Amino acid sequence: MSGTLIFRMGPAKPLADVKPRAREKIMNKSRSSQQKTKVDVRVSETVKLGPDNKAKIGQQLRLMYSQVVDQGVPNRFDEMLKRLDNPTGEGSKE
Amino acid sequence: MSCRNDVRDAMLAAVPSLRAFAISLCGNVDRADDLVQETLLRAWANLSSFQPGTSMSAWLFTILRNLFRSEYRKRRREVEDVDSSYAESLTSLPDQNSRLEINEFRKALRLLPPEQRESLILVGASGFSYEEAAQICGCAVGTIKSRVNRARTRLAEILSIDSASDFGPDYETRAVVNSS
Repeated sequence: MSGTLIFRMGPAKPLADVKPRAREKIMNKSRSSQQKTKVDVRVSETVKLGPDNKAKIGQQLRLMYSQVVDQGVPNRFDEMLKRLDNPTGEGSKE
Repeated sequence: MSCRNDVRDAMLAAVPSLRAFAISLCGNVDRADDLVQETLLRAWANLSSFQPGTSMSAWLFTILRNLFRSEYRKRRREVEDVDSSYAESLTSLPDQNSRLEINEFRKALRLLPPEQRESLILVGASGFSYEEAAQICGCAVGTIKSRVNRARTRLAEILSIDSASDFGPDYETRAVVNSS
């Protein structure tokens, strides 16, 4: 039941001991305060770039770099390096 | 000759990181790949100047950087041709948010002076020590350190201004309110 959930986050007084009318009030109040915290969390998550900027920048830098590194060696370079010792295609020059 | 094969293998192994560095320098994949190719050819032709026992990767980065800088000086008057379709072509990013984020980051990086940008990338992404980065850029270790610091500070400024105006509290709150 929803009562048990709200009891955990809500008033210190057990809800069962509160008169029905007052109980509804407390439940509404705790529900709306719950919603507020949810919004606060979402906002602070996206705006908070500040204090750990250095770590964030390092992470972005490595991510950007690894996107290219992960592509490996394009054929173009593989073939070019193979041809280096043997530019004309006939025999190797020592 | 097996030693030439070893050199070739070492060059091949350095290619992915060289490309990443080249792309971050010039912002355009085709130009970057040409730069890498020219670097490898130049290195191969000057193998005798490579000192065995030192880092092949650092040597190649030095050549690439010098090539880029001489080309950059020639092309300075041209409008920089940043390849915007490049980021979209990379599919390894998990979701659109990180793709947006990395695009913003890339743009911010391009606003830095070239010396700061290359120092930050060499140390922060390529994995070189301050000493190696100093060697690659032909400057003092202290110079690299201060460039990296200034680059980080400037990036943080650019990015926090951007994130505040584009995805600030208003934007996010509205999204949450609308969805409930």
